[in-house]
Amino acid sequence: MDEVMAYVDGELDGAARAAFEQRLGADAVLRSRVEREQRLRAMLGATYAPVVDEAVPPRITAVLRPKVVSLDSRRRWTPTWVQLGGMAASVMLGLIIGHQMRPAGGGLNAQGELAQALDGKLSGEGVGSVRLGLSFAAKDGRYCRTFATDGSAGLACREDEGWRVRQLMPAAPAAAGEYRTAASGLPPALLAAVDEMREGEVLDAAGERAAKSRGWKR
Amino acid sequence: MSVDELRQGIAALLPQLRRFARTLAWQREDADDLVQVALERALKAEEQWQSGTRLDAWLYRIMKNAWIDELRSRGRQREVMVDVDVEELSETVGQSQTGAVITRLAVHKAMARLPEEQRLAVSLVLVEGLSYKEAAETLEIPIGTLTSRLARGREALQAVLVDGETQ
Repeated sequence: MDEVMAYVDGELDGAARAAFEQRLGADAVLRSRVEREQRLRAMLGATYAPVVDEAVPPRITAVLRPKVVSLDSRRRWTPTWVQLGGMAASVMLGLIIGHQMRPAGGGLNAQGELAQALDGKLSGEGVGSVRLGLSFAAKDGRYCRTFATDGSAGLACREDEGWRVRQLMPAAPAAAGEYRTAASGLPPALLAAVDEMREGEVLDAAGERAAKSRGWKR
Repeated sequence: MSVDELRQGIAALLPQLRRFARTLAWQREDADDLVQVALERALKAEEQWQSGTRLDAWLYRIMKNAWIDELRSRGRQREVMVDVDVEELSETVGQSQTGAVITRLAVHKAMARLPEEQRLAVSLVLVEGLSYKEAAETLEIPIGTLTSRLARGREALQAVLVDGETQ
């Protein structure tokens, strides 16, 4: 085995190492070979070491999480439109009439333009009157997205059978001339729900594209 | 060790597992796909892990096998990988760390050109810091085979990266 390689890789035992270092002091050719090895290690380190400082994406940590979701955490995220009373109920009715949602299993599932937009559009894009806001990975292992449509704003999460609406409320009016971001126009209550539910940061464009390419399943 | 403890042990190793994956599949999404597949396999085979042995070496081995399966299934698309690099360079080159970006790209390209078995040896010893014995066990090869692959791989890298730099 090559001794220079064994030396820089820390594979020489104490005596062999000491002997090698003694020769190293007297042999410039040997020293330049060691330096060449160290240059390579430095370049590899500069290239790959920064990866360990990156945030681990939620889809990876999600693999390690037990699949069972507690009933309590589910209950916190049930739609709030039930409690919002008359106004939300009328919003909901309008959306159902608008063919964007249908009642299912005691809640609402997205359909029509809303479902198309949630499946296929990135933040800031939309279909018809539907505009997508923020996308994020939720603590229960699902992807969720906020949306605005016809004077209402909401949040839907991709469940096995489709997009389940978990929040629905009247949209916040946009201030004139306001700089629009993905979160603009979202009611504070909806942003608070996002903050409570999300695991890690909201997705950037690359993250959204990756999630979309997996059918919004983690 | 309980299942929970195993999961916690794996969770603590995620940063270095992602680094190892990045030496194999340079694109972040591809590398994370590899990590994800490896973790799923590890959890399915968790009873095969022997307490008292190195958890990281076990996971590197699973990832190595997952990567080889992936390469077989896609028939090795090197051309595609190199194309994507150029895009990455043009996206990031406007930043202040232009020199660092070019170094990273040169390192990646030199790594991508190595035969897979040399790249695995270089990655485990020079990037992940495994001993020869650990790396040989991870790759399921004799130590002599490991050191000869390592020697050829690092010589090729030095010829391109270090000698090229000083000329």
